[in-house]
Amino acid sequence: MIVRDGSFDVVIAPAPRVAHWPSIGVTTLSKECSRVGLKVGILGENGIQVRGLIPQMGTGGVVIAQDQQHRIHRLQTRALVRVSLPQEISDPFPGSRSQGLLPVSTAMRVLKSKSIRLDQTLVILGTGNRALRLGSQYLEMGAKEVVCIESNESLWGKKKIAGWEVEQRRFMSTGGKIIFGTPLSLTEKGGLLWDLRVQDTIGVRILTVSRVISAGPFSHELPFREYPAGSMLFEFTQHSGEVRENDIEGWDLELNSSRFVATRMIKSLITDLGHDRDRIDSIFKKSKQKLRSRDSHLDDPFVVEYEGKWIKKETKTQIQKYAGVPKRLHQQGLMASVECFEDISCQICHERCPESAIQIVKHGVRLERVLIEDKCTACGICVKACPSRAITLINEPTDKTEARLVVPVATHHAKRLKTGEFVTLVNRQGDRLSQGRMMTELKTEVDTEFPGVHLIEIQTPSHLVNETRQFKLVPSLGDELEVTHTPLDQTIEVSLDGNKRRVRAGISVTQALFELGVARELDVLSCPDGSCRLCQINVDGIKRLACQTEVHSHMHIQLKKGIQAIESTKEDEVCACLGITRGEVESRIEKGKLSSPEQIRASTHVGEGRCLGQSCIPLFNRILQEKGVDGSRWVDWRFPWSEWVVSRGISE
Amino acid sequence: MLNYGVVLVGTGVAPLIAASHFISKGILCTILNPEVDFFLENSELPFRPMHPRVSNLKTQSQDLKAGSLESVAKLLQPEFPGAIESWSPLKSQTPGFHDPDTVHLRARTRLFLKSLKFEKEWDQIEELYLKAQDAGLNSQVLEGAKAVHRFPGFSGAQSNHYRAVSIGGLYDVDLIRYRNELVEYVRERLGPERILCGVSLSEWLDSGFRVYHDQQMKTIRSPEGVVLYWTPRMNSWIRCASQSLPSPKGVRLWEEWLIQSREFLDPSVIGVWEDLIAFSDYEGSPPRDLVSRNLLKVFKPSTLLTWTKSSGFPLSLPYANSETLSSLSEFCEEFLHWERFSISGMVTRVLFEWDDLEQATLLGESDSIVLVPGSDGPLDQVVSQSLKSIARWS
Ligand code: SF4
Ligand code: SF4
Ligand code: FES
Repeated sequence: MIVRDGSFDVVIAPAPRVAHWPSIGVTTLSKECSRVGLKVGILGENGIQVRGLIPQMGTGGVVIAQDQQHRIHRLQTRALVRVSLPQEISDPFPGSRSQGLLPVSTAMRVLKSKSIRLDQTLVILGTGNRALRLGSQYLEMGAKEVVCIESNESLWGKKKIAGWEVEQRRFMSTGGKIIFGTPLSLTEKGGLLWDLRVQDTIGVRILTVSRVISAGPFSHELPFREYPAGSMLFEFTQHSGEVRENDIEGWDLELNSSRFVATRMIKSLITDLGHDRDRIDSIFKKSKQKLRSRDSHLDDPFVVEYEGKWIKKETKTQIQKYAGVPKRLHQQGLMASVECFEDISCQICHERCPESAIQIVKHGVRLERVLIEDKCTACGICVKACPSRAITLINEPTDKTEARLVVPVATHHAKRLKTGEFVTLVNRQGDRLSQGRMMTELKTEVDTEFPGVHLIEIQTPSHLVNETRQFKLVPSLGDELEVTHTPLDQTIEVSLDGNKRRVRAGISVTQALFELGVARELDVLSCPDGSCRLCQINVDGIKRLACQTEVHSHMHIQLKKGIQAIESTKEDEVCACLGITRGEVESRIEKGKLSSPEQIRASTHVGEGRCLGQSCIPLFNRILQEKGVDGSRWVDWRFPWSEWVVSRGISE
Repeated sequence: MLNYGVVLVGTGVAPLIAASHFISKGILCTILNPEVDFFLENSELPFRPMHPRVSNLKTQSQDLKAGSLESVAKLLQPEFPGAIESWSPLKSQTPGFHDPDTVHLRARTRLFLKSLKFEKEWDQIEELYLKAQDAGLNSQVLEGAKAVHRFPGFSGAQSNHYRAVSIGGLYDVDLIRYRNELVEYVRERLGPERILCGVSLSEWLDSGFRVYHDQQMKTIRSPEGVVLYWTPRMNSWIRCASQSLPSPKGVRLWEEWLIQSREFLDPSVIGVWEDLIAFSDYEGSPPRDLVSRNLLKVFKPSTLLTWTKSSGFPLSLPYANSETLSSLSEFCEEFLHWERFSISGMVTRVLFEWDDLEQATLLGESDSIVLVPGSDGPLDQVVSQSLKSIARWS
């Protein structure tokens, strides 16, 4: 067996299942470090998969990676950054480990593949930015109903991180619902439907759902930690999407964090920075300052208050006073109303406006968007470009009873509209207000760039133009959803444990099983690249990774124990692989007054099962926190991130 | 100011055992741990390795004597706050109450297996067989199938190329439980202000030191005395204390691999093959169902590296390199006859080795500072060294 040795100053490596690679934080880290002459290795590409890290006494460690030929690479590094996904597994409840519940990253991935039934309710556990944004996306794709469940209302104040108000507005005005309650159980109903029982203040309600998506607990923690302190071993959480527009806050958070971590690493790896010193210092300071100010608006969040369905007078005045909202010229014609009140780092509207009509101005410590009314030509580009749908065009003539409003509408809904038809106007939180009329679709120069958004002009009663922010079709005109069936010629026949089934052509085995409603516990983690290695399955007599194998006609898929729904898990199971419950972990902590994560993990064995902790370590971490054990800075560096298979004959 | 009593500085079992002893004698003490907890350095071994690489002819007799279940039980029990259960494949359990969750001392059979090819090395093993008999341990020479099929995880067919010496009645302890119960007990008795973790040394004073703990500078003075349990992690403290130190024979790196197995792993046997020690990994007495956690643990001691005062640690210790991996794959594929194997975990530790554990243990002018060699290594050695080090106070 040949082991290839290598050595680096900095190795950046993906933990299993990261959403995309390399993300902005990774490229930034590597750029900053190589610029000062450090040797940087980014793993995770070209079929090289990281198997684990062995921390070294002192600093850094050894990274073990395997390439496609199963050759082993042993890389010595002085500093390591492991990039992983944010937490997204829900607190366990019976059924929560079934196929009925998907982590949010998986749900985002299958969004485009249309594997989830949209004609039934979709539930998201969580009400943070990520949860709400995903909810809005599903609604815009035509989901019948999306409900976000908040089980810890006390967190709401804190959730109002920048951009939350906008996301919540988008979600609720497009028809999303938020309810408060705790999920009790999830049971399979058949036909890709599940029953979710939720306890709320009134009682237990049962929702029939097409899937439950878990968005994980909300956290204000900075997305990186070094453990142990001074070891140069960092864990870094991936918050960005593939493009900045998908999640600006996440993107900028990752960007600033990576700058901060990079400069910190540089400072300790290089003693004499020479002429780079000032530059590095300044990046360090700037990023630190930006990370600090991230929560600044928390002291003074923007909250829209209502009286019934009407905005309260004080809020109304507050909105009217806001610099992005037009004061005069919207009485004469259409004009942008930039209703993005919080101090967020997004400046897309400012960048995109061809007339420079939107300026970003520092107001105290905050950045504000200011509309220069004389310049705005109501071209609509900003409305299309705003990723949070926070901009509308309004025209509110003083002398008429009718006003005009242009709102962004997703294609799915827009294509069903007819000029002149009546629509139901809804406010910022989705309440029905009154009726209006669809006038026309506004065309812009950037239509090809944003095919998913249409600008629809509606006529509203004058007094409602500032309340209305979306509309719905009047139900009588056909609110039903067509369920799309894949035409027969686009499906193929496979055999599942000897039974014939039809699945869509061109999809992966994981997805096919998923669409057939076959419950394989660990498939729900559904990674994009086979890095978690948990979905192994017997296909045509060979073991393969289900997520990396495309279905073909007459494929034989052999499930281990036949088609089987996962039984409800134990009430409070933490580590499903080994059947360790929350109660056991807690009593261990209490009995022993244990105070170190290392010790608790070692003595409970959480994370030593088949999935190597991928589904339980995040939960375990949360239990620690609840129990007052300081695990916030702890990273489980135990060797395996994933199992490492060495087979006869393959390795040299 | 808090009276710290005797100050015990260390990272693992050694300071805990001393504290437990002091508690029972009513002597005041305080533990300082440079690590964040008592698990991180992980410097004890669950048994006497008895590995040709580690123990030479000189130490073997001693290892056999000290490593027997009876003598270890006698050593551990008095200082241990709870019950210690014993498990042996030969004896059925005595009637009465047994706590399945407590620390277990297990009598596992050591199986030294050799291929018939290596005639020379066999002599050494035979020597061991005789010594074990002298020590009153149940030892046997096994041939062919009898020898090889007892090896945990062996799934080959050809078995007449082997012979083995098996020695019964040597101890093996579940270390995690042992440490756990000790920490729990000591923490409860000493209270949070007398058991400080994550302490870093700032400077030595005449009878104590200034340390940094919990974001504060603290001055720890102890007229009663200071005991330093020398494990590799303690180096920086110890080197600050004195330049004239006794020196260990060397440091040895131990690799500890966890391998998923599909084969039956005999829980009562610890197999020794070439440079590896392999055994089924479990806590307590052997679980009935060995399927859910069917893990083969493999210890691989590397060669001894000389430890010099000036250089301190050899910086790049050779772990998980091609040598190790080749020997693992040879072991799993050629010897155990597994088609493929999956590695699910690996940790390393660095342990000191000593020629003479009785070496000078006093530091500085006054004799109030005691330096304890042998605070890492097999559990029984750690415990007895720890107890020896505090004899003067009791
Ligand atoms: S509508 Fe056009 S001109 Fe007006 S602010 Fe938006 S992009 Fe600029
Ligand atoms: S594009 Fe403008 S209005 Fe929309 S979120 Fe960004 S800054 Fe706010
Ligand atoms: S749930 Fe798989 S190891 Fe814990």
